[in-house]
Amino acid sequence: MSTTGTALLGRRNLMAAVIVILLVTIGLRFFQFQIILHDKYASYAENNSIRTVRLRAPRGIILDRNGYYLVTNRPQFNLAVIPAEVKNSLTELESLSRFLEIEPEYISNLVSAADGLYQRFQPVTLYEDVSFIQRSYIEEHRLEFPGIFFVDHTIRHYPSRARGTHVIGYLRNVAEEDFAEYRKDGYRMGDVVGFAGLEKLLERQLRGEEGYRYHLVDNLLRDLGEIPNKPTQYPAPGDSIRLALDVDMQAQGERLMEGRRGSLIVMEPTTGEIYVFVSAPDYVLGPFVGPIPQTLWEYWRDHPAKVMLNRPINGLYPPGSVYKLVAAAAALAGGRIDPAATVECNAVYQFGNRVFHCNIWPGHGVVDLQDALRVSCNIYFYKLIQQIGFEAWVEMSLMLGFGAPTGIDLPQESLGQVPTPKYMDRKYAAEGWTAGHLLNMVLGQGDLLVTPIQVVRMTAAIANGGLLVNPRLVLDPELTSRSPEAIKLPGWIWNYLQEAMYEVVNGEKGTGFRAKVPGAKIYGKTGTAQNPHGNGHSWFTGYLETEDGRQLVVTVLVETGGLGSRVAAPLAAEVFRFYLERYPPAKEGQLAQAH
Amino acid sequence: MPKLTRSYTGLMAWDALILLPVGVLLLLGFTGLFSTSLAAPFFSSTFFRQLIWLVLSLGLVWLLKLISPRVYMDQAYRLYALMIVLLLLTYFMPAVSGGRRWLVIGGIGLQPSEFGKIIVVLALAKFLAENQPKLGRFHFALLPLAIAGGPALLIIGQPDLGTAIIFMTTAFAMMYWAGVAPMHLFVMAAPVISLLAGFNFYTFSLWMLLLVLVLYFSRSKLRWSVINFVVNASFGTLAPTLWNKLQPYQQRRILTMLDATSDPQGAGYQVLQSRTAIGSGGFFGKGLGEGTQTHLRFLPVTDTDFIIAVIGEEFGFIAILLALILYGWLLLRMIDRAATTQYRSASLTIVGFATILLVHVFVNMGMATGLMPVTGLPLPFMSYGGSFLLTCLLMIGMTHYIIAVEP
Repeated sequence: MSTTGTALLGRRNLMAAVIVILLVTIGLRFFQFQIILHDKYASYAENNSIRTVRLRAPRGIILDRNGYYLVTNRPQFNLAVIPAEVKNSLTELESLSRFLEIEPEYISNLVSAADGLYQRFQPVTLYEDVSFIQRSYIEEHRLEFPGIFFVDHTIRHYPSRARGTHVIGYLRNVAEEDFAEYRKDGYRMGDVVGFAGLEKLLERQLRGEEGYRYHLVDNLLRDLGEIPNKPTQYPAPGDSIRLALDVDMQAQGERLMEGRRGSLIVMEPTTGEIYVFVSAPDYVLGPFVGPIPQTLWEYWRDHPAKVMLNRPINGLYPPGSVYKLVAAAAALAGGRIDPAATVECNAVYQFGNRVFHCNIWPGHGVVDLQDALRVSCNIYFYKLIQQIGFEAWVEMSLMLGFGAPTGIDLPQESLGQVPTPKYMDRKYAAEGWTAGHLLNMVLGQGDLLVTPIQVVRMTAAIANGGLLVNPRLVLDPELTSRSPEAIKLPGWIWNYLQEAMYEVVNGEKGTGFRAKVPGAKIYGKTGTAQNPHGNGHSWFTGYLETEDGRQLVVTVLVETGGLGSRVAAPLAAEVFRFYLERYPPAKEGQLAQAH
Repeated sequence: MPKLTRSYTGLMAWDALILLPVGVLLLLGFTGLFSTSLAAPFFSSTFFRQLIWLVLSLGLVWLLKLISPRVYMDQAYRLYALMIVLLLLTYFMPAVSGGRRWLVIGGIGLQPSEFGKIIVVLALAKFLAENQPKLGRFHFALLPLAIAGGPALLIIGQPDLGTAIIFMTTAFAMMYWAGVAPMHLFVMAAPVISLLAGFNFYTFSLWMLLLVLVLYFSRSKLRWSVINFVVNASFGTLAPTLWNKLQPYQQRRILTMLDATSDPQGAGYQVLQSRTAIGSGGFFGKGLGEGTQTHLRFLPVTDTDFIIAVIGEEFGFIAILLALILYGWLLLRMIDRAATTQYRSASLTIVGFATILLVHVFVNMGMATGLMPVTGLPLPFMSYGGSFLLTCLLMIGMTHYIIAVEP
């Protein structure tokens, strides 16, 4: 060697020093963690071995006005796996997938998708709502399917004869795309959340508060049961909600509307309590128990009959002759016409170079305002609108709550559309609009669009003498109460309209005669709104007054049903009759029953 | 200058002071693997597979005695060429968990970079031994760096930064042992240190101060010193500037490019879990199979990168201390034998092997306790992994055979 011995010795010593220094550094580091910081890390480790089991709160139940169950909960068993535990036994799970009739790839994809460090130990749901037979089979063959277990939680159950689909609404999973939004309220991915109807509106009340149970797991992942010194926090179930609906009347309403499209609404006119709320066609909430299956939801969403459309609040319709009540109110309020003044109707009305017809040949003869409402004479109103003017008509429309939300306790109510002069100028800027458009509008057609619930509200205002109430599905006033608004019109106008509506049903040749039932005074107005796609939309709106002073508004709309007097009015009569049967008027000597 | 000429004689006494620590470390490692394998079926467990590898490796080491150390030491350059070819071949293999480190032959995966560690040491030893007189020149001293740097670059591309760093560190240690001027080594290493120090202002300032002092007291030529200072200063200032201009995802991509196992998001988690496992072990540990952290799989890759966490949790500080003493004992003994060996190339080879083992131990155990970044270097004699176990045992075997041919 060319180097001297001492140089080599020096290098040897330096190398030895480096080795010792590096190893001692490591040793000190381990000393720091294992001796000095031992307690801290020991408690970290302890927390690591505690598994928190979430206890979902049962959702609040929904009752009708008499305490009958509309929506309750039932237990459901889901099949779940912990991905890390079945990674090596996917072949065993294949026979399970054959039994459950799901694709084996579905399981392996689910398992391999969860490869994050935390995710691998989070249970993944393989199959929802395992039936009793399936469950017995799997329990029997437990040993063949390692790593699987059942998770039980409660899901929605609909025990009532009444469906109430559009009132109740449904639940959906918190999906990845809107997870961020729900996260701050404590939702986790895959939780169910109200997505439509009252389930959505009352999510906060119905949801309840989840609880936690703490389990100790050992080093082989075996569950050692609950931790004694960490007591379980039990979940608090959601609040029960009492609805104004009457399940029997609701069921009857749904039966009446079977096979038709449209809506049927029954409301108490002074409180706004809704007894019946039917949107037809509807669908069964049964398969929607937990989160809604995506395919089913898409099927309903894309259904040609628009089953998902909540017609009472989102359906936009021409109101037809029902709207003559608005024109009449405008005329009376403006003082421009004498209600006793008459018009001669001979079925034809020449306006400019156009000819307008009345609904009956050879016309109604000589009619005053009340007659015109009773027989629904078009000619009278053609003349009336020209006298009172467009602005007065628009003003009365808005006063009676059209073109504005009714404040019903359901999400996303439509506004409808009350055309104003400004609107007409804009829409018909090219060809210009004429009084001809007005003649159409006064009959509740043309550019005018209303929702059925708005018609209900107007009818209620006439019945109760000028109070514009907010329709309510929930009985508890604290949840949804708003103060009703008084319409500033003299009382005699309401009396006049009430009398006219009474005549429509009870008077000679009144169009609403088919709504008449014995045992109560019936008021009403029919309508047949022309529809370019087929038969006219059939309307009836009216109310009943019992001897003991109770009132009940019924509004029926049957899409393309034809004449309101023939189709809608008899349906309303059925509702009136059933109501009187269920809530009979107090006999003499008995106290009037408040309900 | 005596060369390694004496032929190999066959029977010799094994150096017990090397064998004993290796044996105990293997035992400790297998205990750890046994513990992590508890939940798995025995024949597919890492414990069982590692046992097979151990038997295989011992057999190969035993067979190695049939070849005279002279042969592989003389043929070092050819072996080196073969290694380069194999490393290039890995680029044509399918990627395994984001990296191409494996060469799959008949179903058995081999990592050429592992055996490359031995070959680079042999090649460096041959070169440094044969060119001893010229090593005083700075330009010539750059050549050994190239010998290690070539395969290191190929390995970075695999990507496996850890192993590449091993190559370079080993080259430096062997050059130092061969007598390359420490000043030259310092100048060669300085730019890399500048690059890394540049990311922190205070570290960088301290480092530049040190550089100036070293340059001043080494009484180098002024021109030489100025060039050196400018190069280092620009490395240190430019690197962080350029780095910060990159988008976070680009930075991540580069980090992952440098080392597939480095997981900038996951690494923090792994180290926290590893620390928790080690720290909760305390002085005596929790007992075999009782480590909740390692068994709950809060800590991943327990049988490879983080085997020391299993040992620390289940057998406590006492076992760590034992392991460190055994490593120290083994390494000091190897350095000792290197210093007393007559043959220059043999001496250099042993120093190279010792350096490789030392860096593995320091980086792996430092990584488990958060001292070093997570690079995925295994722990000698303990981590699961066939190629690495074979490499370690071959290094021990070769050390022994080389010593044994002494007169």
